[in-house]
Amino acid sequence: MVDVASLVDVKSGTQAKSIFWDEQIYELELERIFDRCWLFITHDSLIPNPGDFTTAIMGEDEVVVVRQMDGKVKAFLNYCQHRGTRVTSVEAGNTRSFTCTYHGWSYGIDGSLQAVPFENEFYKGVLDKSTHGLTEVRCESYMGFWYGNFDKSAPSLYDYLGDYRYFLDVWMDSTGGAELIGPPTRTLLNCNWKTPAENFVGDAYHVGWTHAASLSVLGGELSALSGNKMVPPDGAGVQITTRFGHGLGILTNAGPALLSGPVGEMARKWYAENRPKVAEKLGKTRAGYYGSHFNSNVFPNNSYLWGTNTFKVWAPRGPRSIEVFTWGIVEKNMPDEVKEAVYDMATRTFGTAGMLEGDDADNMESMTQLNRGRQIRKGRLNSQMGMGGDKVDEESGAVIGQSAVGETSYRGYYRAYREFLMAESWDDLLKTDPDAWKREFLGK
Amino acid sequence: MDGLKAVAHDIYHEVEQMLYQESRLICEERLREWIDTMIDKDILYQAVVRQLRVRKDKRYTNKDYVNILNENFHYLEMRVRQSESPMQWTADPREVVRHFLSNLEVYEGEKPGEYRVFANCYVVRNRRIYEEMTYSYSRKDVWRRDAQGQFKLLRRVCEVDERFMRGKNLNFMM
Repeated sequence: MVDVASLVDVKSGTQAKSIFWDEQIYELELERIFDRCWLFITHDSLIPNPGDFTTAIMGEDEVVVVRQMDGKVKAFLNYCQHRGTRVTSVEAGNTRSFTCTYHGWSYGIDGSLQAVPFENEFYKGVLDKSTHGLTEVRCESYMGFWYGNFDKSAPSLYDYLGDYRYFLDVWMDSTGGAELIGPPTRTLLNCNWKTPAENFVGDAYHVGWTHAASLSVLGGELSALSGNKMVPPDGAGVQITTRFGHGLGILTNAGPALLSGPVGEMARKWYAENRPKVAEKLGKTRAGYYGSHFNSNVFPNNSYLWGTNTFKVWAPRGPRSIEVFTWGIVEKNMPDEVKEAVYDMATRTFGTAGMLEGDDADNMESMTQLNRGRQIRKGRLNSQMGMGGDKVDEESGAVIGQSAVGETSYRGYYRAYREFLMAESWDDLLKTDPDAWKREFLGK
Repeated sequence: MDGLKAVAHDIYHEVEQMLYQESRLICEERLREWIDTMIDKDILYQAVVRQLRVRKDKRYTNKDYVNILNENFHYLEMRVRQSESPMQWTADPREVVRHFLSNLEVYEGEKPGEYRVFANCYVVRNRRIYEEMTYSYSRKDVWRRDAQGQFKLLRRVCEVDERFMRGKNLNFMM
């Protein structure tokens, strides 16, 4: 049996390599993380009208998310209650019903079973349509971002995000909200789902080295880091982690990180114009965060970058491969030409032919695939950078490491990961006081 | 077909040879030579992947495609520079991108000296020890002759067949 408690050592900041390979651990992750956590499914901008729907993957479960006639949103498991076929095999659309292609059972967009071919002739009153609607999945939104949850006892999305909202609001709220540009690209990566999540949650360390070549040619604020030619100065950024493992890193004023030339100027002008609005709404500290580069991950597998404007879901496909969904993310009130320019750049850097995306792939795959070896798999991974320097930030309630490069958010991610795997239920997770995790994390 | 005017056999042959030469330059990693001699300064170089929709659905208004490549000369040249960098770890050791072209059609373009070229492409890409990836896509090109009579690529749109990219990424010249 797996010794779950030893997989992550919070005190020493290490993790067992087997968590990137082991089938048993993966099954436990599906049950205790993906069956329990809020998982990104869609955004308001992708389903603006009644009848609009998109499909998504939660854990390994396929769902369909539909805008209702009254404007509300519902999500359902994407399978027919009769013999289990998909009720839609497209990725998005507008519809009045979902009709199974096998025998033609038809469901309303509210999930109710509306029509069964030859119901009277063949079922002769036996079938109770009222109990055969699509299986509904709980869903809630924050700032237009919709997340689904399979656990009825989970806290609200609002509470699940918790202190992380302080940082989320910098971009998702302050200038009038954010929106996604779809459709997403969908690609394969032969790595464990946590590998890119940990990279996006807290790895500013790799940027100058892994992406040395792309940074050297792209221009923009991050280019100075190419080839590790410089260390970001003191005060150039922070590393942040919160209760349920959501975390981020901020590189101050590294705004349109990879945008050079006239498009870079356009983005910088937009940030400069909007910074005072952020200050007014959210205060001075967060006005300073606005226009900076954010690498972020909402636990467990929803990552995004502000300043590079990419938004991702790392959908697990077993412990050793993932499906990568990638959208563009922009501020809603940006002028169209700014939106287009930053979206184009997001695609150029982190899309299917992304100049930085390809750099990361090699690292992520070998980190997973080498665990095929029994000896390699026995090892542990190190995320100790910045240990001892983390502090509770009174303003946000989060734990902050005062360094542009550090592994604070890695450690917070895996602390939460361990807690989820150990807990029997959400009741178990919520029984400790809200600050207990900070004491554990800081070793106090 | 499609109101297009086929070119004479000698031009067809010339274009065919030129496309094979282009593929060979890419395969042999001669990207600087490729961009200097075969790419027009007004290039628009695109690759498109499409979201799956119900055919008759006209009510859903969000766009159904992603331009995974949308490069002008500036950005295309930037990608060439990335590949030339001694810090481009992903291309060191070298990788091999081998194009197989077929179903070649060559027609007169909209302007004199311009040609519309259709092709099917199959790419086998080998990198590292264990990775072999394959890609299938169509190409719609516009080539034009410059003052010296050399063909220059003015526009390329690649329609990628696979919705879910098993080849992981398209970080090569298509």
